[in-house]
Amino acid sequence: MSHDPRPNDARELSDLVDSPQPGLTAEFWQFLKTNKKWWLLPLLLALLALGALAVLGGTTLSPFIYPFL
Amino acid sequence: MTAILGISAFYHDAAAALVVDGQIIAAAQEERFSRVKNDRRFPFAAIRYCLDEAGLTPGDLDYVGFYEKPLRKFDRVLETHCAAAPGGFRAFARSIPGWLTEKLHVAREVRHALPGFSRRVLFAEHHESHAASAFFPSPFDEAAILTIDGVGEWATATIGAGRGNRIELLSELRFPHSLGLLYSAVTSYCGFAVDSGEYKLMGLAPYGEPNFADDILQHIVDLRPDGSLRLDMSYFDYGHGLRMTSEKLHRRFGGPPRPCDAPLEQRHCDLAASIQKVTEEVLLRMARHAREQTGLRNLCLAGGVALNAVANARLLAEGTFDDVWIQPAAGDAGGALGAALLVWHQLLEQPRTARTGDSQRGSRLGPAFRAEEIRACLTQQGAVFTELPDEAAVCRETARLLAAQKVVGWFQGRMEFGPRALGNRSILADPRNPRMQQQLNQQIKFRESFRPFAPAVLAENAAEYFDLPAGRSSPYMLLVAPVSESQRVAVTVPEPRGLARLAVVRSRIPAVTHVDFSSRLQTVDEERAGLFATLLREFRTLTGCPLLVNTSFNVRDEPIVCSPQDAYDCFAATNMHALVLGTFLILKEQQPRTRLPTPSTPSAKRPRSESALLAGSTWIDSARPASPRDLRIFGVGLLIVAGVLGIVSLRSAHWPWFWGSLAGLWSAAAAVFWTVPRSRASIHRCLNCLSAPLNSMLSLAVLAVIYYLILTPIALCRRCLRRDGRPGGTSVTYWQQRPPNGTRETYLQQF
Repeated sequence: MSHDPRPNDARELSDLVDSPQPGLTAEFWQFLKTNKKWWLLPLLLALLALGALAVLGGTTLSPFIYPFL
Repeated sequence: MTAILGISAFYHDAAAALVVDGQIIAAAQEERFSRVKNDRRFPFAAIRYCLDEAGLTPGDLDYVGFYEKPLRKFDRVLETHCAAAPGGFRAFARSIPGWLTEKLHVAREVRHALPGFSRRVLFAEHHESHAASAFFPSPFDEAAILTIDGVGEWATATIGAGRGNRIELLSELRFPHSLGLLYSAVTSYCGFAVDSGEYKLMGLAPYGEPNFADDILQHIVDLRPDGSLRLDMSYFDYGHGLRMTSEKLHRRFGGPPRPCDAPLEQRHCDLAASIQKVTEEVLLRMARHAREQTGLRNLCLAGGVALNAVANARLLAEGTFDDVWIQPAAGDAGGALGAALLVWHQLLEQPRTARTGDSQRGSRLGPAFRAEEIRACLTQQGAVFTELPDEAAVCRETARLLAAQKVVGWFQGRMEFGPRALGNRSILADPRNPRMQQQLNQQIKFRESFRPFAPAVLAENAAEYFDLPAGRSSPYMLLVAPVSESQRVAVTVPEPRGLARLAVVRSRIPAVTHVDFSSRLQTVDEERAGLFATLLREFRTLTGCPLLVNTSFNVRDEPIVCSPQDAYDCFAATNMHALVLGTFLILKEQQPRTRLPTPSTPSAKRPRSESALLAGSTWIDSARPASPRDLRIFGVGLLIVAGVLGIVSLRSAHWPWFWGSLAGLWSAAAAVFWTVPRSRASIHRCLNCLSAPLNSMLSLAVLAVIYYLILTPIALCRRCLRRDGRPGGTSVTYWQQRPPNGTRETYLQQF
């Protein structure tokens, strides 16, 4: 099934995957806009804040975070 | 060269697959390396193996594809919690931490696994990955595609079409209405682990009568003529709670769910037979609808339900399609392969030529081990072994042992990708022995006594032993076939009831003949499995029998072995008589007693009785070892905290003794940390463990606030305004049309 890659198509996808990675918040925003699910916004904001804490808590600094929360 | 890595993770059966210039180079499930059955964690080890197999570094990869869209799935999870509010806090608190800490951070995990790979990850849809894994390796130029599993993002089953190098999904069923989850719910009710016990239920079905099938179709499932279905969710709890089934279903089925260690009753056998009958009916109707919708003559199948070999065989026998090809890794592991192939064919628009051969390469896509590695392992174990001169000698000697009624562990070449051992990581035995089935179940595999074994038969002899339709083969053990009349023997004893039926000799190959004369067979051919075929021919020469019992090389609730060490450990811990590792032969009777543990059942691990759908996660992975960089940051943190506490203690008017003691403790920890380098990891681990309970309590409190003060009011408002998307009455069809394929940009999005 091996074929010569078609350079134009490959380059197009190649350009796309080299574009900057948006943050999770930006992706959520895009998701809400695209799907018109604005009712999820307060829930997602709260969960994002908790998520940020969770991400920090998953790092090596977790012993300094939770005792002082 | 274009190298594409596909990844599946976080639900069950995480895996990685590598496709280079359209060729499948390597694929493996994480469980084989981590030794955790159905390991769902990000597949770091499987990724490392795939790259090593191709001799690539992360920087050599061109694309990484993930098998589903996390944000869309998260949307489904939140909507499900909203539908359950305010009564589902426990399920909410169980599922959300996993989402916030890992499942929404696929790009981050990819960066950790692939240092040097800086491009964006491409996200396919869950069922699109299944469809790609079914169609692209298939031998068809064009085919209808049917994917059925528990649930992906929202879809639980899809119908699509594959033509050339493109697939398109046309219609879908949506969560919570799912054939896969219905089957899993009954699996759970019968006391087997969801996501891994479904095939046990399938094996249990022939012991029962489908007495509950009409009941299921009348009260629980609204099944339409086109195979679309809607479940009465009052019978299930997977959308709301921590169980698969509700009290209402327990009442209808005549009692509470069976605990996993309780004896099986005839009722459970009847339920297994009933859900099997319903599954077959749904699959057949879906297949007919797929044929009508696409007009195509061949079918590709994937998704966990496609592992139901009995239903697959009925589908083939029905003749709706001229031919059917089923992805051997039909479960979520295969999604990794599908994601990689989708990028190559659909996104890069690389042409595809359907092969007459096997693009899946016999599914032998995992690691192989060199003779030196095997020898080193055996030497380290102090094993007594013989090195045979060549493969011909290996097959001759193994066949002789098998003919002498020995049970042999057979470890050769590359490990299989998918749930079945196909003759490279197998336990083999003589199928003619009427006691072999019981011996294998109780002394080797330590598993339930009712479970049948599968035969591996030389493809050229398959028709002599099994009623396999002409021209059909079953190289991936994904079809059952009846044992042919010529091999059956008259049953001279009265037919017992229930599970005792398995002890009755029904054919000349009793160890692989189920109580209904069916066998889940593997046909072995030279192209896919040359060495295994040679072994079968040697066995045929010695005994006249061209087939063997082929069961996976593992014990109950453990993954199939991957490495020589795994194989030796399994051999040592069971009553297996011999182990063949490449050209090395190890006989149990020759091993020094002191080197072998007493064979025993595996540790009494309770199988998971919950679905991955309901599985929870913790916030902190305290088992993960800290890197030197982590430790340095941690040390700096210690100093800062000690300093801050010192200042507070000096300035505090209240409780200066308390703040002083606290500052003293932190300063002491910081001093030890920086002066005794060997203590660093221990101090880090210790403080991590101490903070874990606090973390649990605080996060639970925060989650409760979010659930009751934010989610529940939103859910109640939506319910009052009838915006909660609850379905109306019955409909002619429950299939929903899907939008056309997205542009390439949509594959960058996680939704």
